[in-house]
Amino acid sequence: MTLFGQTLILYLVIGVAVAGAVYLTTGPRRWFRAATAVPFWPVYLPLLLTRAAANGPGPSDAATGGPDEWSAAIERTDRELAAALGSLDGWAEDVLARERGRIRDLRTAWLSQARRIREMDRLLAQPEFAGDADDAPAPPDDRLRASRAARRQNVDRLCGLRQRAADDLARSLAWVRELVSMIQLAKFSGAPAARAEELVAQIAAAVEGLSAMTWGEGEEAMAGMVDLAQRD
Amino acid sequence: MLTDHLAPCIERPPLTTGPIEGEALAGEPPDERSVLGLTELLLKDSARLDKLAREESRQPLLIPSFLAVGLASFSLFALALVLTLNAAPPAAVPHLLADGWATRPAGSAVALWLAYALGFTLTTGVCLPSFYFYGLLAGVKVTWLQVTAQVMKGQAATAVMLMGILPVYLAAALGAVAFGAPPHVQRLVLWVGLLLPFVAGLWGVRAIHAGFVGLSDTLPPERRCNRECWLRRLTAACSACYTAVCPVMIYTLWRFFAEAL
Repeated sequence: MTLFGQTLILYLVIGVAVAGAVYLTTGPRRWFRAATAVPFWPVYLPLLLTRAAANGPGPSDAATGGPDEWSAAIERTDRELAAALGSLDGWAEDVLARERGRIRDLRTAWLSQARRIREMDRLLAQPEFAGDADDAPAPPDDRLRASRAARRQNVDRLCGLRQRAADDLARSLAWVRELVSMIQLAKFSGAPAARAEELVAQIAAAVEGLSAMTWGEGEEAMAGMVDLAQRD
Repeated sequence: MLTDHLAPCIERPPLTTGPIEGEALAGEPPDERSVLGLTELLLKDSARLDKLAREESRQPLLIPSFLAVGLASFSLFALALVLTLNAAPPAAVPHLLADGWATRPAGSAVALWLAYALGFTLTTGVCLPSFYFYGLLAGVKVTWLQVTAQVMKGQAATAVMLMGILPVYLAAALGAVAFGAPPHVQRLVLWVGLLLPFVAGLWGVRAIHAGFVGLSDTLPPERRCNRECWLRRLTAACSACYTAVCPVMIYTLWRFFAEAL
């Protein structure tokens, strides 16, 4: 047997193993996926190695109920934004060209904020953060009691941080949707180009608002923790 | 105040008359979860597809869909090429295929189909680590899955382009056969057919390049300018590598299957 033939056999053996794993881990169209995974396993390997390979939301995602909701909202807003900016068709083109980068960053900022919220949700869904662990009897030691109280306080802060992050993201999405509707209105009501430029610039500025809120919250939380540590 | 009344009409905005890129109002948006919907997006709104390919939750669905588009298209192309080769006189068959085609026409036809259908995706498998490595080298925040989705999107773009130019080629090739063009002309036409996927592949390479350059927004803003330039060059180099590996892969597969079948 030639070297090529031997390599091919080895390749197919790996392919069969990957196909089996693909068959077991995927939902709809699993036969197609498993069959194509035999010859094309290098393409399927990243799917298997990533948690997202499972079809639909994972168990922790389902518990939080967040990712689909946020993804759908971001997608809808982004679609509306793309349609509005696409329909400008030369109107306010200068400002659009100038702000294209920042508008692109806006979506990245939304996605990263949504990811952050998901991570916090996942963390807070764990029993030790959900308050189940606090059922233990109160320790007699003051130091332990204080430590437990501080921990609870930190978890509360994390909850607050999560809520603020979610509110900020929802506000940013709603704000951009409002601006998008105003662009459409401006376009059809024959407003001057300066008006469209102003609106486009405001959309681009929304990315800074979101980043500022994110970093501001982080710093605030860190300051709170440092404060607690110093008090202890 | 942003919610105030709009200014009176001083400067009329131009009215849009033609189809607008990314316009969702002009009709039913394509179903982004079906293979046909994704094919439609490849044709109409590749920017949207770039965005979808970047979403982690969509990648497990996109990759098999792109693969299905590629397999279907390359299989149809191979079928068309086999029919054309069979219709051509033996003297016009390119020397590369002539021996096998004369002695084992069925085996050669199957080998040709397998080589084209498997070759493109296997090339993707070979080039994936390079794309991933080059992306990391440029400082882009990218996952292996994301790289796979981008490269598979390029393959699907190639497949769609191939389906677009195939009818034109088929008409020309069958015309040459039907009107009895000289054998050397027919041979030239058949050579063009064999090379057609690589011509269409340039479109796919362009899609891969655009997808990777789009990832530059994950770079820190203060370094984006320099790094984006570096990323462009790296992606161009990797795309060139992909373009070079693909014909070699297809030829190697064809030879192997032609001997085996």
